Amino acid sequence: MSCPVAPLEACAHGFLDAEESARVRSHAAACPGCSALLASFERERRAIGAAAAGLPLQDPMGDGLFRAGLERRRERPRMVFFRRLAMAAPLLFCAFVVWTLVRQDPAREAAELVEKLGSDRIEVREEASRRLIELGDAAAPRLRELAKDPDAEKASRARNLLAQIAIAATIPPELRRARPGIERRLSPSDNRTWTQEFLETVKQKQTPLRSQDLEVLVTRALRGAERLEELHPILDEISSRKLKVDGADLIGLLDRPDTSAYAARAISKSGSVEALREVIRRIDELPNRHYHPATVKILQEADPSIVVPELLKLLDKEDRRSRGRATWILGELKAKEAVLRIRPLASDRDTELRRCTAFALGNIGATEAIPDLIRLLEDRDFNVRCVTAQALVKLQAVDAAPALIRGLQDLEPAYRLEAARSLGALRSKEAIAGLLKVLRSDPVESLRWVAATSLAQLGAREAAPDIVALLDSEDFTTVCTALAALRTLGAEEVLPEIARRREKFEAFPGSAGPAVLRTAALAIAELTARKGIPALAALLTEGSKDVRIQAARQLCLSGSREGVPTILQEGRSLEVLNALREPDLYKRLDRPFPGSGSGSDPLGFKHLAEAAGLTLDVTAAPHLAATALSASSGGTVRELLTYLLDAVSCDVILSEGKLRLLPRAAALEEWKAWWAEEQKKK
Amino acid sequence: MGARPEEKLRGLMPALYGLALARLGNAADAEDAVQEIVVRVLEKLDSWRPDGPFEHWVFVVAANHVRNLARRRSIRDARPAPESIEPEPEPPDLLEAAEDVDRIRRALRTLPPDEVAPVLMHYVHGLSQKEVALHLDLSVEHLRVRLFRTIRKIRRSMKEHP
Repeated sequence: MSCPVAPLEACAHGFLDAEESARVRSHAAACPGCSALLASFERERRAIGAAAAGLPLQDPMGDGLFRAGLERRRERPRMVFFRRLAMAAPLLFCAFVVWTLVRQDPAREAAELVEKLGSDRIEVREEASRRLIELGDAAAPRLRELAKDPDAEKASRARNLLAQIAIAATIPPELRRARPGIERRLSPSDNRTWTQEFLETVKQKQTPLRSQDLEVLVTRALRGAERLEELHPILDEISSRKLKVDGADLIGLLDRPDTSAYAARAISKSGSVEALREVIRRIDELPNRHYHPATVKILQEADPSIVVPELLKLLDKEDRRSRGRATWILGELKAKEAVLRIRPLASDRDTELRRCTAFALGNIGATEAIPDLIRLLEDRDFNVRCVTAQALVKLQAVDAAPALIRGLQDLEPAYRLEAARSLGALRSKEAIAGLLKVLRSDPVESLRWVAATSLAQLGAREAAPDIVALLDSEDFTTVCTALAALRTLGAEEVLPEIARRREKFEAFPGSAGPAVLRTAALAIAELTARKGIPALAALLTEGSKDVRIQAARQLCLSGSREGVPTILQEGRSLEVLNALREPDLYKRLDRPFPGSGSGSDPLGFKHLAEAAGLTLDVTAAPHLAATALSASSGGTVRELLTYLLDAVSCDVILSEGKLRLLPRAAALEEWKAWWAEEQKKK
Repeated sequence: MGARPEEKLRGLMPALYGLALARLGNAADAEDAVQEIVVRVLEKLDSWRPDGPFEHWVFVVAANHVRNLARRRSIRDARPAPESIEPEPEPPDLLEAAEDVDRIRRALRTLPPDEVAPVLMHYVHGLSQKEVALHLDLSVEHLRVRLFRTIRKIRRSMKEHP
């Protein structure tokens, strides 16, 4: 079974949104083949970054242009005074005109301007209109009179001006300062003008505006947006600035596959209770599959005291579809109070409802429902059986083992696969015989490697020869999974079998070959480590670079320094040395990092150091550090650092109570100096 | 911690030139624009607030200037429809020597600066894809298509010139 490559590539290069990316990564975590490919794409991404960072400054792209710019700047001061004077002249003139007009009595001026609205010349009418809007309320009485004029054109113009004055009154002074003339550009009847104004305003980053300044524009801007290029940025701004917006407009966008995720985020962030109720009310009306994860996300982030009772009301409905959806979502929300209502649905005659029930009971952690779920393993629908097996794993229901072992002989391969996987996850030793049979003789190859993984989880060493047979497969995923299973088993007796197949592994096409070789190297090093340090040290002179690096890494992890020179010369991931050099400090990295939302905080990296109880020294990529923090908040400090090291060409060094982030080249030099010092001490 | 603004600005020149070329369409205009951007950035240094990365601020200044130029010269073409992404690569087409930085660098040098600019802005200078798309006046989807295409070109070039 081979998985599609494009999502892995898009994920590694950061082309997916957080939700999709998490889905791909969670798949890769479970699929060794995809995991290796994902790692390969991520290395490619880093290598492209490193290569691009070192592009020389060639003309016309670089040095010459820079120097020419500096030269132009030096010449400029001579011109500045005259140029500024020339630029200021029209402004001074306008200021003079405005001042003259302002001096007049507003009511009298309004009367004169209203007269001018009837002028034959368009420029006179335009100027009068502009000035009347500026006068605002002072001009309103005269305009209201004019709105009753028998001349339809004059009356219409007056009504239009009154509407524009009303708009101007709602615009906060900060917005008016940032966007001069905004009240004239916004049309009372055309929402498109609001869309354009909103987008231009948020682009203008030099003048930061508060959320409430933009809320005046956002609802109509959303209504006027027609293209995705307009909708997406507006919805992004609603989410990031938590703008209050009319819920009905957001709900409408949930129906569209290309806007549903953006609209969902906007609903969660805007905190609109009406929109939330509307989302729940429409659960059963929404046909498309894109809606579903978006709905779950909105409801997960919302207040459960509002959401759960509304969902429970849906369980009383006649319609099975809405009951099924409500059940599934209650499961996603882990709503324990729903268990009593959900359990009876496990025997409903509707297949989809039974499937949703199994999922919900498992996800909520309803251990009292284990007997119901074990009965569901005999369900006539294989989808229900599969979801039930997954639910029983979540509940760690070891009592389900006999039924799952029977499932290994099911006619449906998808359920056989789920049963094999579940037995491994439940650590059911009594399943070893059944799983061995699947490994040896099941006609479906993916089932054989799933059985291998489960047998490895069960520590079934007797399965090693049959797992070795999978190494002869032509399928990349099968071979990688078999290598991972042998590693988990700790079956060092198969080392010659792995080494013997090196040429075969190399023959995998494209980047699959190097990926299999790396997986094999990891297996060789870990299995050799079981034989002791001398055997591992002997691998340092082995021909393959992958094996040498993995052996050196294992040596470091075993507390032996013999691998250090190899890692310094050939390795890419240096941080493992920290464990060797400062073990006490290294332990501190296991502390949780609380900083949610720290990504946009320039002090985020400082908080990271504080969480580890260390002082901070950053000499590389502080802005990327902020991105890494944002992407992985909620984990441990060590997880955040690993993420950071994956994303940038730098290394973290722990020394003397300090957490230091250095460019990779500088770090390498430092490690080498440290190693030379160590050698001298010896 | 970190280099002087002038040195940082010097390091941004390839990306700024690529940005200008992508928006203005010809080398002479792009070179002129980049010189002007240097002047503006150095003149406006006082208005840069160090609560955000210097590079990001420079790109905002540059994008505003180039946008104004494009508008003034009426060369803002209609936005092209996002191209479709090329077919999914199978493992044989994947980058064979992902770690070979020198070869990738050689491949990058064969590409036109306007194609390299999004790579520099995103992968090197740390701008988000949304920011890069905004500066280049593209939708995020369109930018991703372009980045994909550039990555494919790098791979092809490495294959053809091992």
